[in-house]
Amino acid sequence: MLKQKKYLLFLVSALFAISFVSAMGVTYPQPQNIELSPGQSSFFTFQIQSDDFPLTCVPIIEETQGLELAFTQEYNIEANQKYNIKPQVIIPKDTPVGAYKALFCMECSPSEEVAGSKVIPRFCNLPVTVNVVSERTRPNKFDETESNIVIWITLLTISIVILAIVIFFLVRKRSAYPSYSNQQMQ
Amino acid sequence: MDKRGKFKILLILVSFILVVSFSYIVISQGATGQFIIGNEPPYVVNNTFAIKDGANSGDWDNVFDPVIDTHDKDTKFRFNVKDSNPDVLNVRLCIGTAINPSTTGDCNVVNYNFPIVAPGIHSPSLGAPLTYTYNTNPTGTLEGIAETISLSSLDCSGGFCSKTFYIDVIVDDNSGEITTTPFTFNLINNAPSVPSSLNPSSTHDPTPDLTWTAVDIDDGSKDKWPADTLTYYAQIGASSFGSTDYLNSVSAVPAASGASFISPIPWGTPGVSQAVTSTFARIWSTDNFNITSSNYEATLNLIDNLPTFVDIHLSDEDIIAGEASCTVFLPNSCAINPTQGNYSSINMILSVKDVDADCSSFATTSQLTLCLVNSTSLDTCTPTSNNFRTYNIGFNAAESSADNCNYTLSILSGDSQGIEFFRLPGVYKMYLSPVASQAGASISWSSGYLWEYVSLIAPFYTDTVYLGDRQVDGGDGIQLNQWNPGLSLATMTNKGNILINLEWEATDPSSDGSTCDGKTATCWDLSSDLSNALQIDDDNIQETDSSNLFTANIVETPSRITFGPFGGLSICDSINCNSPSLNETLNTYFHINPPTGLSPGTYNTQITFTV
Repeated sequence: MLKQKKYLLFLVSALFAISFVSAMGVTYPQPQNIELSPGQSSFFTFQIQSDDFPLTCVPIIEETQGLELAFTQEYNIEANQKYNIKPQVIIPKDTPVGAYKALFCMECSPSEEVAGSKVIPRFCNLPVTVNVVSERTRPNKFDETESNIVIWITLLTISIVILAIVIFFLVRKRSAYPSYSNQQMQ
Repeated sequence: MDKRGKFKILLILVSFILVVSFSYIVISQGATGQFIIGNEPPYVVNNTFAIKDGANSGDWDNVFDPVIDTHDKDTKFRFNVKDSNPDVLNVRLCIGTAINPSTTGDCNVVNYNFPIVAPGIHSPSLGAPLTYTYNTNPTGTLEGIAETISLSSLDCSGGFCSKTFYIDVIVDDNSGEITTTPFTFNLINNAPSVPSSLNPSSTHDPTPDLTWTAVDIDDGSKDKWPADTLTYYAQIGASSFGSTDYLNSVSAVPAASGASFISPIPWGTPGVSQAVTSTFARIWSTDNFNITSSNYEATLNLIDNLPTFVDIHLSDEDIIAGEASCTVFLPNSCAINPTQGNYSSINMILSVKDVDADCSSFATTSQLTLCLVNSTSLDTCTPTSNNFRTYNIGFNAAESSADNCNYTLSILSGDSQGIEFFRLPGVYKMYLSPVASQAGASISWSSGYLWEYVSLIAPFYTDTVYLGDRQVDGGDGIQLNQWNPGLSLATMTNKGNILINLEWEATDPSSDGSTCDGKTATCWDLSSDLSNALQIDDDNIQETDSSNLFTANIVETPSRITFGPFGGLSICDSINCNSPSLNETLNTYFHINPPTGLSPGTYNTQITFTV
């Protein structure tokens, strides 16, 4: 039996030009061997390098060993950028002292619509290593930023409380002394 | 003439005759007497001799003072002479250094003859006033060994100088009487005080302006008049007090003075933080009488504070001081991120402290040497040993202020002075040459810091691919239920610095843009016939793989298959990534065998590779 061939125009990934190269790179996170105590957090940074196309990159956490990694849901990177990403690593309070290593991936795809099938690189095994210690012996490179955030949150909280107290007393004062117009009416 | 006029004339004549006649009668009638008026000696009027010893009009020393003295070497003398007889007086002023100078013939300081004093001049009760000013009036013809009204160090004791001069005033009345009246006076002087308080005692200027304090108590007050003008002598030498290697100066100004150096003080030998040259300064002064003070001796140090290391910041981006330090966050050192497929940029700031705050006044540089010597290696990193890149770092005035001096380096990405992307990641040694000052550089300089070259994953690859044998690629189009060899080449190149192991996966191709879930007329379920669906290959022939990589069946996401050079996609060894001996690149083709039952259309899949 002759093999019946069905001819079908099966176009896959219609492209404008095959010679376009998707150039992107991801650096390993810095710093490594972050020293933290249980309950503390710090930041680390890594870089995504784009070429001629804008990218949308999404973090994928592979392994945490109990550490918590805080990323933005996705990162939009313009073309020809060296884009620094600064996630946070958080040590849960009950984490035992020891060395930890979390791994994550960054999956990046062209932000713009393409007329064919996308080829998507996924950069994996990006490590974040943390030494959990009972007492810190040194600062980490990005601790200060975290401290600033804590300070700002604290100041904001205090400001809100003060504002609430002021409003409370103003309302209370207004209730205790009826307005002049009300007195006139009476 | 009338009768009345004749009578008057007659009366006058008669009266004259009578007066003459009566006078004759009286004289001729008295007793005869005689007295003799002798010639009296001339003299110096008592208490009139004085010497000027102060600026005010009343500042004269005379016999009423305990001592007749003066500090004025141009002193003025005064006295009065008189003679009871109306004689013409010759007056001579004799001043000598020994007693009774006029009698010993030793008027060796002044031997001055005043102009003659006429009788009418000295006739008043206080006689004739005479004045003599030394160094204004002539000294006359001196006798013996001539001397002056002056002092020498032999006349001094304990800082006080005094010399007695002997005066004879000789008055001759030219009638046989000559009187000699002796006086004495002391010429007094205080030696200048020892200079003090040399300023500065240390300096950063090889030819500094020097000041010091000098005092002479002969300040112009009475007995100390006129005020002395001091002449200063300053010497600065290399080896001992009194040597004159750098300064040998005389300055006749009335105050502590600057002095001109004959040669700059040389900079010393650098130590840890300073280079010090100790010099020996000697200063003294002389006064109007050329009396010399004692020497003031002090050391003067030329100090060059050597630049000391503060920090070094290194980054591939703009320096953020808190983050790019190579010294603060150890063991994490300053890091440089490679630039994919290119030379990395390098920015560096070297901060040093220069206490002298003059780093902007002279051009200095430093050198940064980056080595690819691992931090744990025993190999050294110097500009001549294992150096990978050596950069000259220039002083940056805009980034510096006062004693904070910054030296900067900026190399843009793509500059061949940057670091190639393919250099292996690691923590490496660096060497920082010390910043020199005028005297040189510190012998203790921090240079043992590390830098890190970060790992970069950078597979250059296409972002879209053609599958199968399109006619445009020379094929015969896509046929169902048979292999359609991939003809479109997509090459992957490792443009990072770590080995790349590749895993591949794909979503089910669909023609309507929907997410496939099982085989339909518009969806090709890759998992339904895994070994007979979508393949990746490094050549465009589906059937055979002789010397090339074997084809691999790409599985449906989330499963993955491994395809790539054995051992991974190699790291390049040049910017061009064209080494024939390395697997730096990977050619890929995609063969497809779409099943029957698929509707005509353009099918899309999403191929993901994981590194």
